[in-house]
Amino acid sequence: MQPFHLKDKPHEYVPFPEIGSGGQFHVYDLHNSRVLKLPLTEAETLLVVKQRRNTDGNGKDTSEEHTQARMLTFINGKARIAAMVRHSFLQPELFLGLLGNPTLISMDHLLPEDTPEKRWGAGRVAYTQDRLDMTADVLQHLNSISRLGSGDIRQLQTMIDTYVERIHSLWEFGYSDYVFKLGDTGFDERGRLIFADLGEFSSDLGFMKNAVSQKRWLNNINPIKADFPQVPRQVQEYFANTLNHSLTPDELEKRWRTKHVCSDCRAQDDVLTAFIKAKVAEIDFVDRW
Amino acid sequence: MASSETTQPLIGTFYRYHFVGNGAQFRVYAVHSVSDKPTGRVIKVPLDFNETKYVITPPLSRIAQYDTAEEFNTLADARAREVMQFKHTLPRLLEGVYGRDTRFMADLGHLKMLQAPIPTQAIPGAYFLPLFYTQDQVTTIGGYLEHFRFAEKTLTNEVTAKDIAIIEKLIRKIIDLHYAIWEYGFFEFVFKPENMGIYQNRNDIDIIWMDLAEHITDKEQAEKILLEKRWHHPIMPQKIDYIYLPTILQEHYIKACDEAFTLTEFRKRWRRKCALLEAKHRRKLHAQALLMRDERKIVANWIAQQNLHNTIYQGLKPEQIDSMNIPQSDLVLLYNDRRSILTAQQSDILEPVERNLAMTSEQKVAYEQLLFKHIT
Repeated sequence: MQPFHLKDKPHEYVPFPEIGSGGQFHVYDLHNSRVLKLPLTEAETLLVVKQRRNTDGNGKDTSEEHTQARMLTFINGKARIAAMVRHSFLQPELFLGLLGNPTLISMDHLLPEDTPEKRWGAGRVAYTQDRLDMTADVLQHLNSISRLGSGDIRQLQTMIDTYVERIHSLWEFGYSDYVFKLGDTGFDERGRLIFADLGEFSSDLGFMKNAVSQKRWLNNINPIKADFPQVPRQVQEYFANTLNHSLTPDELEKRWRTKHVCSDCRAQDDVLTAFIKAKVAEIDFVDRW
Repeated sequence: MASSETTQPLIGTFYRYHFVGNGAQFRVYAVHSVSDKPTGRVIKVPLDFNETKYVITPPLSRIAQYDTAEEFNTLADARAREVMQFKHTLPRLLEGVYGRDTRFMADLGHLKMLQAPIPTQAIPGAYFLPLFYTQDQVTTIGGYLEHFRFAEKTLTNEVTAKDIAIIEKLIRKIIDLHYAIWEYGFFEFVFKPENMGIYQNRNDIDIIWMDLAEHITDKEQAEKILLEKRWHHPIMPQKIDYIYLPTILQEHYIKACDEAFTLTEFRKRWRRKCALLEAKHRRKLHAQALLMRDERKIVANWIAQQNLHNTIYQGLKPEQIDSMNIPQSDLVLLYNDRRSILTAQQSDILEPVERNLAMTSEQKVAYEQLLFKHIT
């Protein structure tokens, strides 16, 4: 077994403390400015989904009937990560840099088969990623302060501007976070804003147009959305105006895949993609060729 | 803590492991060299669920209210899980600035951690991944207090002036240790004297926080507990989950603790050291920001400042990982050793006798009144 080097000192076993967990992954500190993300089981995901139930403002649970469906959405979101991270961009470092340089870990021989007690389902993916100062923690801290200083407000506004720039960069590669949860971003050692949560990404322009039309980022300033760390009150207007103005379906279409240069998506593959799409969408089982 | 002198040591590759006792969270073994010389360190082996349940069952059965065996079993399961959860908070005592603080590490008996996968026989290919800890070997309070059992002040040949000075010093050191850990934002919420261990030099003693799992970090919760005066429990013979203090110490112990563990003293000290450390790191980041021109880097620096209250308490340095090179096979051996708890005995055999005497003496009335006062 290869020893793990902790500050150049080899160790056969190193305890990696859990520093956080979300709806999809447990996050462990690797002590080398990187983190390890291991998938939650279905049972763990279900617990998170139940804890994160949102109400409609009148105290009525809006997600009670959809718990199982939400759990599967969380699981299935993880299944898309591998294809996104492995996409054959000619300059992958530019794209992966936005995502904190994720490196997939082969789980074929590591994750046991699903059992009734312990199931990972489609979400059998694990990766390492740059360790970040999470924006969610900052928002939580700022919300506990009664009044923000002018310096804090200015920095938050710059952060919001940077967030928009980075979303535009993602769109240029043909991918986007479809939840737009500001708290799921973080800052790396070089001060770059990074998208930490890779389980809520889409490469489907139609789907993204819909998400952008719904202005899902407004959940960041909607106190009913208990699972969204809220942007502090003093900058909520700035946040809404900036994102509403910059993240539009037209802007999305204009930027979508403009920097998507890869060896996967060639012209003939588009025909193949079209065929696969049509085939899997086919509903006439009788007249099948 | 129960202990056993009779169990044969476990023979490892480079070390011998002598079982010295167990609580509800760990089995503790003194680590000896191959030639059976003490290394001055102990290894703490975490109890699994069944062991935890086994240990907590007798005291729970005496204090819990239940009608059926099934009901009691559910209670015991829940309590065992709760006790096991406390262990998960231990690594944070070693992380970030805590691990780099020489004084704090000395207060913790130079606690270090190590981890290794332990194959389970129940499920092929599956592992347990327990966290073991090593710590300086100290004398337990139970063992140390044995000398004072049944002692009476009037009999000067039993307790000398030197003894009294040592008792006073011991109590002062226990109080000072609580104060010290409050400054780092930890609150030992049971006030069990037996959670402390004693280094004995020729003419002096020193105290470490030996059993560290029973702590919280929430100030409001700590203040509520402080008002309960749980340090009175070691003089209540009916509190069987606490060591019963020798009668001769009780008056002085309670007086000193009542004076020391007040809300004023607590608020004066709570997280004082943390505030200093955070301020120091914030000043450093602020100084860096003054030299920055790149707007993004300035934002990231500001983010780092906002997150300081989390980040400086994270991260493990090599110094916090045990360096005794205990082989994995030894850890497997220790983890699977189930003889010890079954044969464990009370370390201080006079303690239950003195407790029982108190239960049947006139003192009992006073203690019940005291208990009643706390309940009401």
